[in-house]
Amino acid sequence: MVEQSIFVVDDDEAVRDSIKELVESVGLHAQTFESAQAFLDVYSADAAGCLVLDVRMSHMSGPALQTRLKAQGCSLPIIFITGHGDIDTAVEAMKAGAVDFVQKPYHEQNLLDCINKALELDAQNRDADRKQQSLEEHLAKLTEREHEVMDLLVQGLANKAIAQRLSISPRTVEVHRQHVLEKCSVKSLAQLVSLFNHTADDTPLR
Amino acid sequence: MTTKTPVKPRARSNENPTTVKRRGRLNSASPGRDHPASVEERREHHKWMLKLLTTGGRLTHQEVPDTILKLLQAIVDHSPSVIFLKDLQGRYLLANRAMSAVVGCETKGIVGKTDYELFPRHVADAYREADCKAIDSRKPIELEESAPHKDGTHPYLSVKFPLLGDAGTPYALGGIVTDVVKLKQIEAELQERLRFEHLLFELSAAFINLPADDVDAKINETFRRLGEFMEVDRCFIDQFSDDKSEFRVTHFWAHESLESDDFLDKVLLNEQVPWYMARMLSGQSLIFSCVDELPDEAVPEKAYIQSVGIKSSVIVPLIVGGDIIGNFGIDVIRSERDWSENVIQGVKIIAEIFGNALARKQAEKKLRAAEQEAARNREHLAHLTRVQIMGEMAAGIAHEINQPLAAIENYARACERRLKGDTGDRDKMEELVEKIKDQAHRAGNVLTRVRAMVKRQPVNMVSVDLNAVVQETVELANMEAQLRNCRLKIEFSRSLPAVVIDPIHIQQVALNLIRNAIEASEDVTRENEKVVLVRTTKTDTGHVEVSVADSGLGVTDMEGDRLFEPFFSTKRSGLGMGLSVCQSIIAMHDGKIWHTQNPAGGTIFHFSLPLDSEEGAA
Repeated sequence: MVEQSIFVVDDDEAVRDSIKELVESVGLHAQTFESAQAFLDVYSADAAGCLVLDVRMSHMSGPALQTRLKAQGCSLPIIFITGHGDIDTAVEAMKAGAVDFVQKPYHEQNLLDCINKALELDAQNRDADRKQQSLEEHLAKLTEREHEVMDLLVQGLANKAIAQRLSISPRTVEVHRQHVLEKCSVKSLAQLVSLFNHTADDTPLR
Repeated sequence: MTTKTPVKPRARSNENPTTVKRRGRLNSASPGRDHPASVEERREHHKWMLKLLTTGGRLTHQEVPDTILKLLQAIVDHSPSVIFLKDLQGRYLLANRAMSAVVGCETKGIVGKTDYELFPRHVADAYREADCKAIDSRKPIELEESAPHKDGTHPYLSVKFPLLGDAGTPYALGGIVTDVVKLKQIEAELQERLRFEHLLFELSAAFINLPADDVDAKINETFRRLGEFMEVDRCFIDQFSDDKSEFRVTHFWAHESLESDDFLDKVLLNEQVPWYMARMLSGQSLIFSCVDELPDEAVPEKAYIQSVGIKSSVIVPLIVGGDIIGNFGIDVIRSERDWSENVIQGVKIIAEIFGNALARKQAEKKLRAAEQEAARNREHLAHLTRVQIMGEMAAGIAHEINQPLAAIENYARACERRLKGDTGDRDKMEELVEKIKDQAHRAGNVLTRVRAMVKRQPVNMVSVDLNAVVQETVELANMEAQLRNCRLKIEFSRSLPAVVIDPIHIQQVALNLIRNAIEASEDVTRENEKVVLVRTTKTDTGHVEVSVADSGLGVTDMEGDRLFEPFFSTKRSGLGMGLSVCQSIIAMHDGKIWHTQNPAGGTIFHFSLPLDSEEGAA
């Protein structure tokens, strides 16, 4: 599994460094960036962890970076650090999908809790991503007929009903069903259903 | 007395040129061969001699008429100068009335006598010597002689001339001698007057352009000179209080030989010497040779004068622009003095000189006080606007202090967690503590900078590096620039000589201009970043210049004309004092402040300051 990092973007050197120190003191890994652009320069899709962003930065503000990352399909959870009187910006950021915001002056436990939650979320996101990906890989192997059979199976139809619906023999349905289970690497229908449910329910944020 | 007939003097013998005997043989105790003995004989001799003289030395038997002799005597008698004729031996042939006044006997008593019979020997010797010189040189001589008088020796201006015969041989000596004692006296008086006039002239010249601060010292110095020159014992100036209820001795000098009390700063109340005060306030002088000359009603004055020991005084009012501000006076203690008109006039002139100098000093003092008050007000206003600016910058300042505080908190918590989790190695702890110290220092610096701006302190001109001052200002302004998403760019001249300025005041000006520029840039809704450029340059005219360029909307001509007026503002909020205060600060530094159009759009504000003259020349 990829190691998670806390990406700290703040234009105040001492502030970003002190957050890094704080994060590292609880055994997490952090990287600091002096500007949104500096982060964008090194960002890649496989980056794991979360972002800690200062709302107010010269050149590109936190929310502006958020917009840019969203456009690039980045799923890193974002925690905003806001100063006094930046509530409006924070609310906007939350609406745009930020996981949390911490208002200065903050209690360090509060920030760490937020970070931990975000990391967990990131891990889940990544897990779901992986499952979805493998499901999609499995599904890609299915033939058109197998796909039709699988859709109906997952909807809870019995072999006989599927045979009727598809105007094929129940015996043929059974063969397709076996192929679907094999290609999706599951042993039972229940497992197949759970695979679908999991990918459908456990990806709340994208 | 050997012969009764007049004997021809040797001089009449043409063929026998005279070798004049200097002196010695000729006196009444041992008469010479040719000396007539009796008064009668002398008179005859005299007559004969005169006849001889009036015929030009030629001996004739022709009688000279007595009328001519009488005429001659009458003419010489009416001359104020002494006129005489002597024979070559020094015997008087003729003397006039002025001569008889000198020797104290009638002219007739003089004729036939020599100077040795009329004057003390050393005087007669001197006369004889001069006589012989004139006879020997055969030319008239001029010289200064002197003669004893009852009232002392008088100086004389003498002309002595030989009477020459046809062959150019002297046969007698004439003299016209003028008593110049009076002339000398007049000359001495004139000299004295000239010296006094000169002194007055010198004083008025010395006081005319005297700096106000030197007036008191110069008056005191002048007192000494005057005192010694006029031979008085005390000089003083009294000045009245504004309500004229009392007067104070502001300048005082007493002759060293007097063990006088120091009267300086002594105060007398009006009611203590009412007569004196009334007289002085009416603009009259007070001049007395002795205390008795004061009127009867001046009882306390007399008592006072006697208690101090003053015998004579001249006291004149100091009048300036019609206002009597006090008195100038001179006193004599050691003797009574009759004051000459000359001295009184002089004292009045000196009083005028002193009065003008004191009035100028007072006026300058008032002017200086007014200037100081204006400077205080200017400084106060500058301070108020600084405090206001800091108030307006409170959000930025708070942010600038919160950042290090937040960092400190994070570092401290990191420390704490490492200690608790026992994951802190010593090096890491030391690193964190070091970082905490740095941030505490950073927060402290912000406060120091703000406090310097808010603190009220007197103008303090020091020689400093202008770049450092502007750099400091940029750091202050950065607090706000960051919040407003504006970047401050600096371009400093590297060859900037030192300037003598009040750093806080110049920072205030620079801060004002930079904040205005940040605000002006905000008016423009452009996507690209807002930049304010702060530059320092050295000009060709021996100035250093600071310029602040914005890329705002610029100012209109009409606004431009009024930018530096108090209470003029183009902002929605703002007192309109900022630039006006900047201008007064720059004026205080003998500098200039102005604005130009930014070719790239917006406005550039400039101010220039004169270089430290020594550095600038280097």
